Amino acid sequence: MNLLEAIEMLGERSGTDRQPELEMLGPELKKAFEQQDMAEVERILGSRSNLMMLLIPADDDEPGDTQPDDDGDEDTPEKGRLAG
Amino acid sequence: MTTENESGRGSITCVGIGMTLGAHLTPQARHCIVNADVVFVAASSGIVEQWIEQMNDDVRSLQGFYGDGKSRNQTYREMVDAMMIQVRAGKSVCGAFYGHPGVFAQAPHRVIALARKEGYRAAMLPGISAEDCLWADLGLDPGKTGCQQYETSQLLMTPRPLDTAALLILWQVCVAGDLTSSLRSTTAWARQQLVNHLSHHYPACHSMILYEAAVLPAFAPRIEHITLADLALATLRQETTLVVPPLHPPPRDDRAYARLKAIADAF
Repeated sequence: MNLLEAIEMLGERSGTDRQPELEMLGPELKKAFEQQDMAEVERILGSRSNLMMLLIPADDDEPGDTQPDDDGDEDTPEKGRLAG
Repeated sequence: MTTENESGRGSITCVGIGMTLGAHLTPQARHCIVNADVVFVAASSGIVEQWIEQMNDDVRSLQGFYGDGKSRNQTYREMVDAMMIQVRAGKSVCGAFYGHPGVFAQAPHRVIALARKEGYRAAMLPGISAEDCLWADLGLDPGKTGCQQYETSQLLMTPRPLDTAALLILWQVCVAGDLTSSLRSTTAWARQQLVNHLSHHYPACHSMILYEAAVLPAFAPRIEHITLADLALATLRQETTLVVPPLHPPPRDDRAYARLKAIADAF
């Protein structure tokens, strides 16, 4: 089992019974988890950091934008913005 | 109504991978990721991206479409184009998006609409969103007072009445006031415009919550209480959500109550 699979197993446990899964991470990664140190977890796993997370613009069509929407339909700016 | 595209078996399914690695992926979403010909992933963390990469031999990150100073409108169009190229090539395509693919996410809705328009099979599978985590972590229930939620800049640009008796949730607060949809974060000055806007409805001492769902298991969510006066200078990240509790109880309409009671008494 690799470290990501071990983290996945940790994710399947609730807070009260995850100690065995924490041990499976190994001492270095376990320490990073216990210290809630995301940067250290990323370093150990060699992960990319600072990913862009924004998935919606404030406005569908910004000023000067002359391209139609991909769906070709009339703009429905609220589509996708309201929580489902 | 469109019919299935006759040229091939291309399809697109957008799935949510939830917020916390290992904790939120549904069996249905995992099956889709594992069995797709191509998986496009928009994850909240490089660690989650690596985790998804383990599930399929052809996982392609959507991160490369973002660019400093580049409008996200363009980024989202390019995401849709990249997925549709594979659909049109007859591939079974999975778009794996963090959280829920249909909540505050433009590209999944657009690619599904476009694929259907062109006659391909397209579907969306729900995931656990940041909002879902918020209710659990903060112990709030939108059914108690009602809830309104907006993309922050959208609220500033298209103002509408705020119900101060209901919860208010503002998403993407770190880019409040960004008219270009191209910034990673805005300045304290731009955020001050949000403070000014909210000041029309709430006192400066009104308590608010900065919330971030946990990305990794065993990590705590961010739950930071601030006041409206603190907001412009608070640490805001892309994943930060502003939760504004109600200012007062909802007003009661005694006449409506009396009418309903009369009806109940009559029957």
